[in-house]
Amino acid sequence: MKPLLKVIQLHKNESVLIKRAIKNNREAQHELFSLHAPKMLSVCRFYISDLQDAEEVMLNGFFKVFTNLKQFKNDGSFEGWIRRIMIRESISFLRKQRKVEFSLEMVENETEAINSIETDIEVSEIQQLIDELPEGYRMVFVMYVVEGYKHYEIAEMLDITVGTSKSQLFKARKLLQEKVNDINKTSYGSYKV
Amino acid sequence: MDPIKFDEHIKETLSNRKIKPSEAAWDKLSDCLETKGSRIDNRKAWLFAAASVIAIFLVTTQFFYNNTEAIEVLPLKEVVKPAIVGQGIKEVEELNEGINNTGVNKLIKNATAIEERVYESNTIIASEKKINVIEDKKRIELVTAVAVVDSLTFEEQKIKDLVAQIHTIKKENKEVSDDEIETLLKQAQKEIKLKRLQIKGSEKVDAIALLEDVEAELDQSFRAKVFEALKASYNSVKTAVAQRNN
Repeated sequence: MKPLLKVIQLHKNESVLIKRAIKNNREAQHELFSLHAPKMLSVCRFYISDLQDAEEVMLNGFFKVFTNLKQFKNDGSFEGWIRRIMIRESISFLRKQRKVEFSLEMVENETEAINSIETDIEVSEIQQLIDELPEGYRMVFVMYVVEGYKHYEIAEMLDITVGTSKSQLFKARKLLQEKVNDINKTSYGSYKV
Repeated sequence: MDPIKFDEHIKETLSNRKIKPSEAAWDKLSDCLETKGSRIDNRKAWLFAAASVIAIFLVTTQFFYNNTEAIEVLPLKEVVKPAIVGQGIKEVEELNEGINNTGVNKLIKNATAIEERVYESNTIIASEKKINVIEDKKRIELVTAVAVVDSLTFEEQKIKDLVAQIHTIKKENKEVSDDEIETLLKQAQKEIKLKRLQIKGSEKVDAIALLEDVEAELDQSFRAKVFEALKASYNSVKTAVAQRNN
């Protein structure tokens, strides 16, 4: 019973903070920032390799959050709303940098799943692996695997076709598999099946 | 470690990750929000200034438009006076052509001289009215309309009386002298002047000023109307003057 009460209390507090932040209360804005910034910086970091750039993008995202806070409707979670803004901001940043390139090369068996990779690699290693992916691969992979978007949603957000989205995901997985295998080889001296 | 699904492992691992922003992050954001607030204020100030300029422009335009309308009315006012004076001149000329007798000629000469003076005074009056109409169009229109209606009514009555008196004198004495006509005209002028002074509302009549005014000038419109009335009984006047000369 106690955890439920805590969740309700937290939600109530957040609603109050949001109301105060809408009225341009700087303290409330600061509290909301402190509450969500660490997670949002992590989200931006999925897409942007450089941490400073990621932070810059996150600050721009929060600026939009606070200046458009009136548009937030309580039908979804506040964190989810901020998260979507951060993702769009990150995509926009990469587009401005002109780093995004989507390979048009189609894959024959793109439905093949690469699920059975044995690994216990840490977060930092995973992030490093993702960072080493080409921008196009990385964006689709993170959006699909981490954020849980569908291919048609990714296609719409990135202005690409559903087929391109699928092929980018397949290639990203394949590349990651190779890298993970390399890590495993290095760690254990032999390839484990 | 047992083999696990790679996607799920990545999702689980990355979803729980938190990266602490730098110390200056909030300060940067706060500064941006402050700047944005001041930008909004500046934008409001600009909008207010633009709205004020437009409002002033509209009011000014409306003001000049109204003034233009008032000025456009003036020619209609001015047209009336020359028409009356012109009518008087025309009538005097007709009388000049028709009447060659000494008494009437003398009367006409006097009338022409007076007409010139009255024309000048009418021009001055017209100018004054022009200025007054610009200042307070409605008020002037109302006052002049009432004054004109009253004076015309009184004048018309006087003209009728004067013509009736001339006819009466003619019937009784069989002739009408210049002095008699002049006396009757002056008497009528005095009465009209007195009436006008009373209309002006002061209700105080300065007798000396009144006499001076009457002697100094005769009202052209009144004179013209007398001529018009006399023209109707032109034959009677002609016979009376001819009999006197004989």
